[in-house]
Amino acid sequence: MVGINGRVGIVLIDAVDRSDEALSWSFEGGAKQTFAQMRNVVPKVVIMKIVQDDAANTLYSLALAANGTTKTGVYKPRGNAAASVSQPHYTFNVEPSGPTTATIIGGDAAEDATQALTVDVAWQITSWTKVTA
Amino acid sequence: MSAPYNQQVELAALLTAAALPTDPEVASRYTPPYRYILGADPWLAAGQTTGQWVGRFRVVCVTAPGTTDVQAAQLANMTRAVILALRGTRFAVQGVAVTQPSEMATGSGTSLGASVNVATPISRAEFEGED
Repeated sequence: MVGINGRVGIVLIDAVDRSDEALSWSFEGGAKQTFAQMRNVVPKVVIMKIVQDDAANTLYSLALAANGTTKTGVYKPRGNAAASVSQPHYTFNVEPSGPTTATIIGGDAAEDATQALTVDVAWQITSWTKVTA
Repeated sequence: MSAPYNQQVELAALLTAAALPTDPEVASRYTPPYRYILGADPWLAAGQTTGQWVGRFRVVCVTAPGTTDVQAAQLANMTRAVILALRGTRFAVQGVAVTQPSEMATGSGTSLGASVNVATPISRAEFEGED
């Protein structure tokens, strides 16, 4: 058995591989108030730390636009091309919104200039489907 | 060719296009002053984002033989020119920007040399798509 690690996973949003734009992604259940919600293990929000890159159609541009337009997404935890029972994919719809951090743009100087500045986002997920084939 | 050698060649071409002739690796013959590129340690490392890699390089600058003060001034000019030429490109000068100068034996005598430490992010698609 090989567990999921943080380097091989791929997230596609709006049909674009976001591997080079995100430092982390976490699909979380969100706030739960009822017993039904407590039993529900379907993610309701994706929390990501993303690179500040204001080119067209980047995650950061989608965050700054925050226009409520739903985007399609695919999460491939193991980065495998085709989904299977042992290595499933997950499809979802997501609503981009603005940064949750105080920082909207900018940040500290870094010694290593390959380290891009980042912001955090928490985008609502409106559907979630496990794909095994 | 594959990463990070592809990016090493790209770095040499970029500097050469900026009127700073640079070889992507050590050539067999040189007439100082000259520049060439070596892979740094690590040459390739995991990058900041989930799919990214980072290629690291040393742009070695070697002066013409001369007196110590002339060589030191020329070396500072050469390394500064490399740093300025890389502004706004994919290649980032590192925190330890220029190494300590050292004497280098060249065919024409003793020269002074130092390296500019440079790195560039390499995307997953770029890394996996090269051959």
